[in-house]
Amino acid sequence: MSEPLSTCALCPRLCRFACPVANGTSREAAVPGTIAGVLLAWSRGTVDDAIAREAALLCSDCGRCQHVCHLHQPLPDLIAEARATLAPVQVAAIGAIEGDGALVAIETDDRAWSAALSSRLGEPVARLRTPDALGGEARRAKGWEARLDSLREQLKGRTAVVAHGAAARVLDEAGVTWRWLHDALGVPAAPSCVGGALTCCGGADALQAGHSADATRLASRFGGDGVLADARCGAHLKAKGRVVVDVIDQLLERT
Amino acid sequence: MTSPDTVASSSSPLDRRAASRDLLPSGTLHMWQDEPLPEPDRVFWPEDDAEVEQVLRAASEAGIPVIAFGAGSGVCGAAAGRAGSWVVDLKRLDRIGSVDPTTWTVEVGAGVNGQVLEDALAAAGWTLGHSPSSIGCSTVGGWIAARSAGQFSGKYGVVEDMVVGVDAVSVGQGAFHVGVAGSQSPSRRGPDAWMDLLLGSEGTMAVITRARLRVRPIAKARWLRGYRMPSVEVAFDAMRELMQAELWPAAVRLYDPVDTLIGGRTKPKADHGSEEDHESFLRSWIKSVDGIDGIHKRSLVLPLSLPGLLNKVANRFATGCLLIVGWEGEPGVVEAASTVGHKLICAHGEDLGHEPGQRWYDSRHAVSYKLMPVFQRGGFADTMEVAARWSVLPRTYHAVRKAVSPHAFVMAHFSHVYPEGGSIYFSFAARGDQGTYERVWAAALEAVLASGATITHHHGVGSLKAKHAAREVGPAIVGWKEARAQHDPRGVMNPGRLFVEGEPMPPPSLALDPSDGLIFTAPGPQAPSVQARALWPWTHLPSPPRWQRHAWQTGWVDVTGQIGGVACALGRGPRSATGPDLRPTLVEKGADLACTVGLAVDGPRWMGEARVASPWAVAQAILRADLRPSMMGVVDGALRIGFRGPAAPAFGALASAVVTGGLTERAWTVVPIPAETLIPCEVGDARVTWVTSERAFRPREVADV
Ligand SMILES: Cc1cc2nc3c(=O)[nH]c(=O)nc-3n(C[C@H](O)[C@H](O)[C@H](O)COP(=O)(O)OP(=O)(O)OC[C@H]3O[C@@H](n4cnc5c(N)ncnc54)[C@H](O)[C@@H]3O)c2cc1C
Ligand code: SF4
Ligand code: SF4
Repeated sequence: MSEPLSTCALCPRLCRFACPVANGTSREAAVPGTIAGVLLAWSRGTVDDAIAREAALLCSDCGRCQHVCHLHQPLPDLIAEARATLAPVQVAAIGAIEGDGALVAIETDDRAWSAALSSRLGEPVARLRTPDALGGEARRAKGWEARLDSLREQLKGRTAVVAHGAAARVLDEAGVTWRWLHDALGVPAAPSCVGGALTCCGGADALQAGHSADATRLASRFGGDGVLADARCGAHLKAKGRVVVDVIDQLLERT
Repeated sequence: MTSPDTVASSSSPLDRRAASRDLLPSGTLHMWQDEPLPEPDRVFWPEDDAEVEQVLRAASEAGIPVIAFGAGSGVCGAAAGRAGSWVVDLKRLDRIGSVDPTTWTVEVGAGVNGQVLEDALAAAGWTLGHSPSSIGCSTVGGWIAARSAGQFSGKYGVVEDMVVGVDAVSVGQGAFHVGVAGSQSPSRRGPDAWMDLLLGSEGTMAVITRARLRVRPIAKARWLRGYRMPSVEVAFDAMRELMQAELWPAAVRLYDPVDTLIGGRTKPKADHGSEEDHESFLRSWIKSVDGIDGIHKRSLVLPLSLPGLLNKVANRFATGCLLIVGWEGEPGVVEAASTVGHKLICAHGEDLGHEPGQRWYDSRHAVSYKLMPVFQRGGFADTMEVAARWSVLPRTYHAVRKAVSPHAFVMAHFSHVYPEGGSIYFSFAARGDQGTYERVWAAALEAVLASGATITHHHGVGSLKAKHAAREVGPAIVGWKEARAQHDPRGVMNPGRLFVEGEPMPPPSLALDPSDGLIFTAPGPQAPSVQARALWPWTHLPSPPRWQRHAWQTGWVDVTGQIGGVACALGRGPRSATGPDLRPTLVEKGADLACTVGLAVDGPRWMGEARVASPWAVAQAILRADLRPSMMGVVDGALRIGFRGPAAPAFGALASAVVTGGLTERAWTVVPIPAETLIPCEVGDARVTWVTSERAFRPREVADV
């Protein structure tokens, strides 16, 4: 791990402008290159686990650093690998797809929207219930490859429809065909927190990691209407009293 | 006692560690070699001026050193936290106001990241035009505090040209603004002189909280081209002629033969490309060294241990220099300037077409990825950027290479040029221990000072160059000391950085060469004979505050004299980032004063005149059309606009097209530029005596006082 990590540790932190958590929290500790430096030192035994764990948990795994990096360094993967050791999480096994259809709704909370999508599109839509968003939190942990294999197997020949950034990231990594729910519905992409397929402002993670002041601050950056949120940050922004265009709610209300 | 406890802060080991390092390469070396760096005691994240003041006051009362921290991209050790200190991280001052389309300015928090700002401006059709290689990893406050310069400085100027107003907080003065006030500015106005003191103060005086910056509409046209030049000296001639012809290219970059050899093959970012996409001489060479059996990957130490030999080998292979030139802006202006400029450069070198220029443009931020492999393989790499007037530049270039060559592999490029001179950006690579590191720097800085150049063009001073900076400014340091006493009476703001006094050094001789494009004059009212020859015919010197000048209009360049019998020479080139501008101090406190100003070279002149209802509004429209008149004013109710240089008639025609009824060509006359501080007013005001792209100005009246 240390050779690729060292590139990021030595980098003049060139991707920091793109990191939602670094920007949102203003913490130098959250800057991608700084996290790499801490993890490199940890891998060499000169930083203790507690510090390294805190650093690894600051990353929301949004992928933007890699996206803007001219070397396309896989820093999010390296951080995820370290996190899997430093802060292992238990994620549920991927369940079975329920129902038939070329489309599979990836339902990440207790809102069941496959039927609504089916009637909107006029075609059968199956569903895959996964409260932990396909277990993205355990990305790169032991058994991860097997998890991706099982996803590939289940989704073979089908298209997943997703409204959750972390779940989308797992689907991406598995290399299966997927699309955003808002695209499937033809909802124009309103300005979202961070845009594109990389949909996380880091607030949810800050909240989870106990940095509630940081989470409030992140949420406050995206006030007003017109935020097209995925399920994860939608929930987060709503919890902070922000008005969001939640695409699942829209689907359920309209249908 | 003031308590800072209501301000967000952390003393966690992770946050303290993260604030312990800026991008001074010796700090990177420490990190890489697992040598712990001294850590600050606490990191604060103030959200407004009041919170900044609370932390500064508490620190001052307790005698705790306090370090302003932007993004820590400074490469001179100016922002790194230190043992026992508090770091004030300013990134929560991150508000970006909307662009005022009337005044072409935007109000921005000091903690705003450069790329985030540029993206926000671009979304609304504007640009700041400031493009340091570190744009994605630095902040507006850091740019101002360390006098940053971007890759398109020829068009948009360096950071001090962009700033029309600054808000700041200091222990001694509380919250205040200087220059043009903004919607968020503290009501207290500081004297104009504080603007020059804040720019380049590197956190030793006050914390900058906000700035009003000039913006321009995004360029509609861009023209880029590469040329092969036979030697650095010939290329200097071409660049000097280009600048003295008042063609104002946005970017002029010359790579010396070794840098051309090493960097010349840098390719633009390929779609999700691998490191191989950035193939270069150095990388391929590193790879071949790595490939030798028995040589461990980390052992680039081997060739870098023999820098003298390596320099000789590289110099032997290196032939010719790559020159990149570019214009951007309004299509007509770009066309007119590039047509003439291209012809001018072709008289000195070989045209390589648009491709090398476009390649540089596409990969202009990728260059910052080049240094990591050197560290990874047991070496270190660093850069030094200096500036000098044209006649000194070759001397500085050769002297530094000679001084550094025994210790490090060295190459250079030249990326900021002015009518009066330019900058040199040296890159060093050597085997990485702190002893060598210090030897390289000592040799390099001594050579720079002895050659008559300034020790920094845009990286600033920090701890790395603090002793040499004090030697460069000599007795004028008193201006900084007095300002510091006013703002930071207990000396807690970033102590030990910027200026550390030691052994004095006599200033260099200022004998001018005709190539310098400079003439001697003296501070005070400017004689008509000086105005007739000067690039900018100021009514007197010093020239007016920055927000009242066009971004590209220079005042004095060098100022010489003595304070208390000790000789002093400030400027040493067209631009220096050696701390705040202390030339006003020298003039205020010194004797035997002389100064230099830019010289208008001989050549074509074009002047036109128009009698229009609102002449100053028309003048502003001409400026907003991207034209840079050499002469501009209203004389006897008529607008006069003049251009010098080989493109003067073409520029004249473009200016004429902006004026209803056109400009009528007339004999060239000098139109002096008002240098007293004026008051901003409406452009239609009958009292207007000057305009910039952003504002109109009128003289102060009794009722204003
Ligand atoms: C890869 C790379 C490329 C670079 N390229 C360029 C380039 O092209 N052009 C260029 O000019 N520079 C360049 N630099 C240097 C650096 O980016 C600049 O010096 C920049 O201005 C520093 O900004 P910062 O926000 O990171 O400031 P910091 O490094 O955090 O601070 C720099 C200094 O300013 C002070 N400071 C910071 N913010 C404030 C504030 N709000 N109020 C008061 N003081 C403050 C600090 O105390 C310190 O003294 C480069 C650096 C790197 C690493
Ligand atoms: S991902 Fe790229 S830009 Fe970011 S720290 Fe790593 S090398 Fe630097
Ligand atoms: S993956 Fe996202 S959150 Fe994590 S370091 Fe990179 S940019 Fe920051």
